[in-house]
Amino acid sequence: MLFRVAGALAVMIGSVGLGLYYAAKESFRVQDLLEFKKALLILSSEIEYMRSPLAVACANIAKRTSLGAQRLFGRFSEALTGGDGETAYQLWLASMEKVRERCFFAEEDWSVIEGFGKTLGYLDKQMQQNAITYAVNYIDEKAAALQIQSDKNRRMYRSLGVIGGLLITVVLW
Amino acid sequence: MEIGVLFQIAAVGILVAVLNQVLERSDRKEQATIVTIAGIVLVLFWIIGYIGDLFEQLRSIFNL
Repeated sequence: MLFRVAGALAVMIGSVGLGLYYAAKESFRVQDLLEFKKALLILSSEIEYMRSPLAVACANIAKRTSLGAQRLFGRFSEALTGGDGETAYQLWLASMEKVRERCFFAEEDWSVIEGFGKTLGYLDKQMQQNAITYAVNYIDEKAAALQIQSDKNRRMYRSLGVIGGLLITVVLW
Repeated sequence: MEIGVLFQIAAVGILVAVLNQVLERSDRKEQATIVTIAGIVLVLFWIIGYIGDLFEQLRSIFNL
């Protein structure tokens, strides 16, 4: 009997934890997106007013941001400094791959980030600004949609965690 | 027949009903239907042996 109760408790803790994780995951994604937007706005200012080289600009961004944006721009800055002949896009892709596991971006976010990387260091200042504006617009739209959706989903995932745990406990009892 | 099975079936029924409501309110009607069907199949698996016993007893009572 004691083992049964202990097992039921373990199942409940596991499923409630899973529910809470999924509930929080969407807000982590929104935070990552907003932080990436902040990074893009800093990059825009670095291009417009400071005229810093890309590696220096990215290192500055990594210092001023947090979460996924900090990791991505930090890696990219290191890659640019130590790169040996690869294009900025190749280094951007390599940096993306290295930080992918530790970020909460969805696939569609990654494709926009990758698209942004294609224009890095390409053509003139105006081209860079346009690419930044495009990515910022995407983030604004996505973050607004996610905010509405995440409130509903958060409650659902929490309930699913608790009820799913109870259901598994009853079935295995 | 153990009385515990009845309580288990009742608990599964209540939990599946609540789960169904939660999923329907989140506009996930397909998943709600799948959960309901899974609940029915699960309970059927539990009681299928008892239904077989019932038929056997009926057959023996009426000499069929």
